[in-house]
Amino acid sequence: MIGIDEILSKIRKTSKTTYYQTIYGLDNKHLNIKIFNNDMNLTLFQINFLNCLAMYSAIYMDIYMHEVSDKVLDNEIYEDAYLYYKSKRKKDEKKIPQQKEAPKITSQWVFKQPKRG
Amino acid sequence: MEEQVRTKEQVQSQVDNLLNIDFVENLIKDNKIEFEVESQKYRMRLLTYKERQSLYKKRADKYLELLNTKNSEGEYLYKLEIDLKNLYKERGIDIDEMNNKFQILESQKKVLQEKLGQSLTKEASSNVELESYKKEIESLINMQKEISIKKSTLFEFSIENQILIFMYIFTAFLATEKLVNEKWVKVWNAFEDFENDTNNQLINTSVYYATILSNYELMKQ
Repeated sequence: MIGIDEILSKIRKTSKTTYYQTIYGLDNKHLNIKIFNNDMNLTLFQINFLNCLAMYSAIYMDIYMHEVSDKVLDNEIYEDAYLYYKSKRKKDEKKIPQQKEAPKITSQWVFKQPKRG
Repeated sequence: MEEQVRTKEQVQSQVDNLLNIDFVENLIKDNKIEFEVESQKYRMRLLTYKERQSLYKKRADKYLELLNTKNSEGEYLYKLEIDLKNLYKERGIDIDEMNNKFQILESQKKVLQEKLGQSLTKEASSNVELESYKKEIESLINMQKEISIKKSTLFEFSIENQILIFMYIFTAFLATEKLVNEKWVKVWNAFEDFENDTNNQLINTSVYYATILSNYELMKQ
């Protein structure tokens, strides 16, 4: 009998496989491919599995876009670190106020500065 | 000879691993778990709405029962986590300090995770650098695990933990079914039948699967 931690770790590994990533990718295209036998009343493990599928799909996409090295998939510590870095970077970007551009003159009227006498 | 034993152990470990992966895949695919005890098919399923209501009522009853039970000297027999926390403090075990230490480790872990995450985005980063961050993070995680284990051992006999165990036991009673003439029927009609059942293998397996499927600890997070 295996413990909860081991189950969660195996769920993560399973969601990372090409087989489930392909199914997940196809499911996003609304091809109505079923991952679970049940449609409703998902268990917490099933919800966790869906979260992991989304997480690995995002990592695979970032590797494809050359945003991160494929070394990231070597172990769970790399994966977690990258995801934390990514989410923190997004949060930090939101914090920085966008610099306002000087308003462009759109009017055709040009007002001359009065000459100083 | 030693090598033969080692190979046998390795093969066994690989077989166990594959069986566990198979078990986990089945666990993902369905919200029910089927199992066999002495050639009889059983299954564990999620609780229905009515059963959940019954479980919560029983939980409340059990909570009040434990809360009000006194020993022969008129003192409360069971302790809440908060009482235990104060009791431990008197004996020099500071739970708040353990929580603070856990949080400090968490902050240190996040700093390293950020550095490691950034390094992974750079093509020039070396495996040595990545591995060094990994080792440091692993060490922090292990320290956090140690604190968590210590805390759960200290609170093992708290009322809260006993309620959690009771919930798993009661879920096992409510949601275990057996296959009779191609139909799934409840194994026990009354909780007393469950408590008096002498089939330990069935009871233990049912409670284990109730723990796995309902996972009330995870729900709290």
